[in-house]
Amino acid sequence: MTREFGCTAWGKAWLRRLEPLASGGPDPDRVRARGLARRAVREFRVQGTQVSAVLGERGREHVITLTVPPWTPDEIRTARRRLRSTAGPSGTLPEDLPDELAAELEAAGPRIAPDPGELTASTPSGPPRRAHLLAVCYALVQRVDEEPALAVRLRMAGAQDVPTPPAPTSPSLIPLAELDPRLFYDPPPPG
Amino acid sequence: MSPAPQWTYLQDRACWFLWFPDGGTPAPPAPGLPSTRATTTLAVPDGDTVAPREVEGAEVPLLAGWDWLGTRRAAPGDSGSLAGWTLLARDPTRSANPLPVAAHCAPTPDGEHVRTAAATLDEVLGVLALLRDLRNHGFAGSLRGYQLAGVRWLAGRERGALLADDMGLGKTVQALALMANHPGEAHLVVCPTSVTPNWRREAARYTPDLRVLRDGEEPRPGTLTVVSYARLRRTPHPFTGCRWGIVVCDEAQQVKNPRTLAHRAVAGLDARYRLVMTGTPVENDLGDLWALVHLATPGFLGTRRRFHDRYVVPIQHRGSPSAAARLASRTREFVLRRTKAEVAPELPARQTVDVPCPLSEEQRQLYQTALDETFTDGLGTGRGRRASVLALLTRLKQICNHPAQALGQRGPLAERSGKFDRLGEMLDETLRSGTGCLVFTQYTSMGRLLVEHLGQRGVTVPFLHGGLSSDARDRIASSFQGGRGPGVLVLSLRAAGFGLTLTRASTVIHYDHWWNPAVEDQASDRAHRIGQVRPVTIYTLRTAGTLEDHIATIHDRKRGLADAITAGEEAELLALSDDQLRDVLALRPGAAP
Repeated sequence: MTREFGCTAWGKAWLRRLEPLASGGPDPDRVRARGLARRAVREFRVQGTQVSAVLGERGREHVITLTVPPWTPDEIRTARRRLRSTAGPSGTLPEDLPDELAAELEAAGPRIAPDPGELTASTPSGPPRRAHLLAVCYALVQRVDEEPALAVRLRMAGAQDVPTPPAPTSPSLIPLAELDPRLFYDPPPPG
Repeated sequence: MSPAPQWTYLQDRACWFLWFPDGGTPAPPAPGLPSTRATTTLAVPDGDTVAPREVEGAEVPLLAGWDWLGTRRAAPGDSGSLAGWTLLARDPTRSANPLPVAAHCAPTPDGEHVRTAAATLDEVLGVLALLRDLRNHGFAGSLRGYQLAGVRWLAGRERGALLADDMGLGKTVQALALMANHPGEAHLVVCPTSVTPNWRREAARYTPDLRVLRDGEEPRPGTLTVVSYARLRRTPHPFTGCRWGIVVCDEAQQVKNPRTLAHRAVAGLDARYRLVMTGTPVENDLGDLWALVHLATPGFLGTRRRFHDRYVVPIQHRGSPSAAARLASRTREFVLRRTKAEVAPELPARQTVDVPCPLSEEQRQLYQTALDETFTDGLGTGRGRRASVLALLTRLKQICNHPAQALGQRGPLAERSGKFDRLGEMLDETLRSGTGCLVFTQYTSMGRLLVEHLGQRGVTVPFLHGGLSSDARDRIASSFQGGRGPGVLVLSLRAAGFGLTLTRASTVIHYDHWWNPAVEDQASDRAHRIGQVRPVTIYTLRTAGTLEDHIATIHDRKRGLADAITAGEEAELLALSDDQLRDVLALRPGAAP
């Protein structure tokens, strides 16, 4: 049976920060957040260290943006050393990372996920409600489960020489957006 | 003079697409240059952007088009793309690339990119080189554009691939072309027993330089070994001890379960390249997709458990678009699947495919006994002889159909008849792809066995035969035509051979051969008639090495003659002497499974 949240070690690392063992009894915000993550989170996007999503609840839409704090330069160096064996020949990181690597990485220092309190969270009208913030975090846990390398990218964004998955475009492709309709039928200029 | 059309290279079809920006279909650019009307998606100017759009035009085969381009000179009225390709066909090594975007504006599968001019030229030159190699290596087939594109794509995979084209699109010929281009290796085909004769025949036809080995012969470079899954499972040793070039797993859905011996035997083969083939739509079941890709390229999609967690649960339980998009982009690297509808312009409106099937050991014994007994007892003379011959012919045909039919049994049915097992595989594919299928047999008893067998597997299929009232027949036909039911209809050849319109079906299977091909053709016309917008494929099953070979020969000879003189039916055989008749009916080496 696959766990709904945290079925990989990488997603679980995030989940542990959301649900620390020492947190005591049931937390109504967390229960609500899980339900919202299941049915109310849309347009989930990750850009650099920013995670954004639209949360629709009771007929209202909330645009929520989280900023994940990056690792320190020391932590990035440690992480890069640990990841070297997994990265491809050109330093690219595969989408999936072994679960053992997550344990190794945390043992060596860098924490895969920050505490929710370390996240900078905002909506256009000010700070989000806690349940909404947690809902986006739960959705992020699922996204990390789908693509464990995302957990690493979120913490290394901004650093130089980041091992990333291969770029979606290869040099033999041109995005349609870069084509000029006025020059479509004309041969390229010489040279 | 009409304006010259745009010339765009379509990589997925390995052909030229000729079109006008303002619409309309171009005429063939030169007399004798083959050209087919078609519609395709191109990225074309749309206001201030370039966006994918359906475009009407004409397809011209790559080689014919290239040869024509190479013999002409660029003219003032040429479109930029035609002028560019003309210059390149005359001198492919020229340093400046003269192609406008219009010459390479077929969008990639993600719909968001086009290939660069340089990449498109490389592709054209690569496919032309592939064609040259195939010719030099004695490949005797003629590949359709999408097949050529398929072989090129397969050759570009490093360790293996999954080829999942619809039934009838020619997976076998693509696999043989791939093998023909590696004459320095020993190749292996593993397939169900029911398809082994087909592989042997197709290899002899398309790759005469690739020697098909007989049982027990040692594999050497330049040879092809064909073995059934059953045989590989029973005695894996001679096969696991070899280093193979290309291993083809045909009808691979039969060995998709990793816990089975057959799967493990296939997975244990030492191969440079594994080509896994299936005609069932793999995208419908992610578990199957994992198993088949794992067979082709072990480890590519991770472990089954990890695949389940990362793709199956996100996609099937919570409809995750990001997981679906990532899976689609990953599988595009290893899975090639074209449907009949996608390549329809290249398919003939009606094509007939002969499907040789093996004889089971039980069938062989029954067949031989029937012959021996009849000829030992003697055929008699006059009217008595005629009755004896007809009874013998019927008996042999029933044995070829299924021992249960010949013996008047109701079962068991599996693994007793090569044709029956092959039909089961073909129906699996049509049922899962949802294209309608008609199965004709001349024997009501055989039709009942088929329907019962399908019923036991949970598929309720109607049987349209002469014993039904005309109301009942109409109801069955209109229910099928109306899209209800599983899309398979079993029909008696005589009762349903005329009058009905059953164009929901684009596949027709003749389970047995009638003497007169006109009767069969008329039955096939139930699907291929006015109102049919898809290409129709007609399969005729034949038990190789038996009387059914002879009937197929009669068909070949009679087709094309006027109906009036094709009414001979069994008369020809009645005119033979006892010795001649025995010779015609005797089992031939082709009957080997």
